[in-house]
Amino acid sequence: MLYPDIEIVQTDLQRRPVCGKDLLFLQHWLDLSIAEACFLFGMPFSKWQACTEGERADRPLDDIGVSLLAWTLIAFPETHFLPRYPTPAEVYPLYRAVAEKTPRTLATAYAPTPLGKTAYGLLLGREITSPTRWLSETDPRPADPQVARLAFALRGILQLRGVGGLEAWFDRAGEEARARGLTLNACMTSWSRMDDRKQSRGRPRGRPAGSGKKRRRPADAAGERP
Amino acid sequence: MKPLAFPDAAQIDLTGRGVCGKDLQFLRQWLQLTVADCCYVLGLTTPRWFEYQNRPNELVDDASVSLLVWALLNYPEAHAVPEFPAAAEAHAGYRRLVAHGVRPPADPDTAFGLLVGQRRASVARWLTGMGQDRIPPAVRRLFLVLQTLFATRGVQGLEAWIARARFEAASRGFDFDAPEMNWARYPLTDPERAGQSRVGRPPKGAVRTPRGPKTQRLGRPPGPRGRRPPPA
Repeated sequence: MLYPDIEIVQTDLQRRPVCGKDLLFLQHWLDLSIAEACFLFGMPFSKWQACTEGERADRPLDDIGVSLLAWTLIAFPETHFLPRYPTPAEVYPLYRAVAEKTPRTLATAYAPTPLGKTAYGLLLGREITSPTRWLSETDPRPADPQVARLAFALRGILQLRGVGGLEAWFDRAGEEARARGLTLNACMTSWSRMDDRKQSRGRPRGRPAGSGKKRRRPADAAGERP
Repeated sequence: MKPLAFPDAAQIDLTGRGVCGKDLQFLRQWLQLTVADCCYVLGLTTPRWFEYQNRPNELVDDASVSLLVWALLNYPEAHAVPEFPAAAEAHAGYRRLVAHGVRPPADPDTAFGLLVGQRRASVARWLTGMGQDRIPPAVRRLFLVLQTLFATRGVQGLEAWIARARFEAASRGFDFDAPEMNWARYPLTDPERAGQSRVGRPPKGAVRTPRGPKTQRLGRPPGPRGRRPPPA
C-alpha cells in the first residue's frame, strides 16, 4: 500500500473527518508495529482491526477521542510522545567509553578479557555473537524489541551514573547468570543454556535415553565376558 | 514515566535471586499500567506475558527482560514512556488558555469533556478525583498530547483543537456548541447496524412509535404469559 506525504494528509484532513486509514498512515509514517500503534492510540488489537481493515478504513472513526488524538498527531507532529529506542550500535560507543574505566572484567584464570564486544551481548541478555550482527557495517541486524528497550535503559544509566551504573549492571547480570546456573565470565557464550526447567516443559530434546547403543565404559568392557 | 513509591520494598528485593514472573506483575501494578501497556514497555507479546504470569515463581527465561525489569524497578532514567497526565493537569492548562481564545466554546468547563470525546458530565467527576481509573486510554494519551500542544502553540493550538472538534461534530451531524451536545448519540457509521433501533430510553419529548412484532424467543412458546394452560 502506498502512503501519501504528511502534507497531503494534513490538507486532506481539512475537508473530511479522521478515518481508519489515517491510523494506518500514522503507523506507516512513524514506522510502528501494530502493537506499538495500538499503544500509541490506547486501543486493543481487536479495535485496531475493526477500525482499519477492509472498507472500514474509509469510514469515520466511532471513537472521537481517537479521532482527535490522530488528528493532533498528524497536524502537530511535535506532539508525538512515543520514545525512539536506540539501536545497540548507537549505545555501544558510550558503553565502550565507560567500560574502559571499570576494573570489572569477564576474566577467568586462563583468559583476561576486558569488557568489550563479547560482554556487550551478554550484558544485553543475548549471545556473545549478537554484537557482531548488531554492529555490522554492511548488514546490521535489528535488535529484538526487548533488547531495544534494554539499550535505552543502559544508555540512560550510563549517561547518569557512569562507571557505577555499569558496575551495578554487571553485578546484576552476574546475579541473573547465577540464578540460571551459569557464571558470567569469558566461558559464557549464551544465556539460553539454562537448567533443566526448559526441557521439562515440553518434549525432551535429543535422543531418548536407552534408545541407542550404550557406550561401553572401558571398565565394563574389560570385565565383560564374550 | 515517573516511578511511584514502593508500596513494600521487601516485596521486590531482587538480591540473591533472578527476576521471576511475579516481578513483572509487580512492575505493572507499581507503574499502574494495563497489560497491553506493560507489554509495550517490556517489548513483549501478550501471549508471552501470560506465559510468564502462569509461572509466577519461575525465572523469566529471557535475560533481556529480566535485566529490563530490574533496571525499571531501580533506575528512573531507564523509563522511556512518558507519564500520562491526570485530567486535572490537562484541564488546568486548558483553563489558562481558554480565556484568551477568540471563540471559546459555550460553558468551557464542561466543554472540555466534549473536546476529548467524552461527556460533559465527565469533567466534574474527573476534577473531584473520581473515576480516574475509568478514563479511556486514548483520552489519557490525548491529555498528554494536548499538554504538549498548549506548551508549544499556546492559544493558537487551543483554537485549532476546538475548531477541529467542531468540524468532527459537524461531519457527524452535530452542533458542537449546543447545550445538549453529546458524542454518545453519534449516529452509527456501520451500515450493518444502521437499520437497527436505537438502544436505550428514547430522548425526552420524542414521539413514541408503536412497536413492531416481537421476535420469537427461544425456550418459550408464543402465547399468554403466566401460568401454562392445563393440558387438554
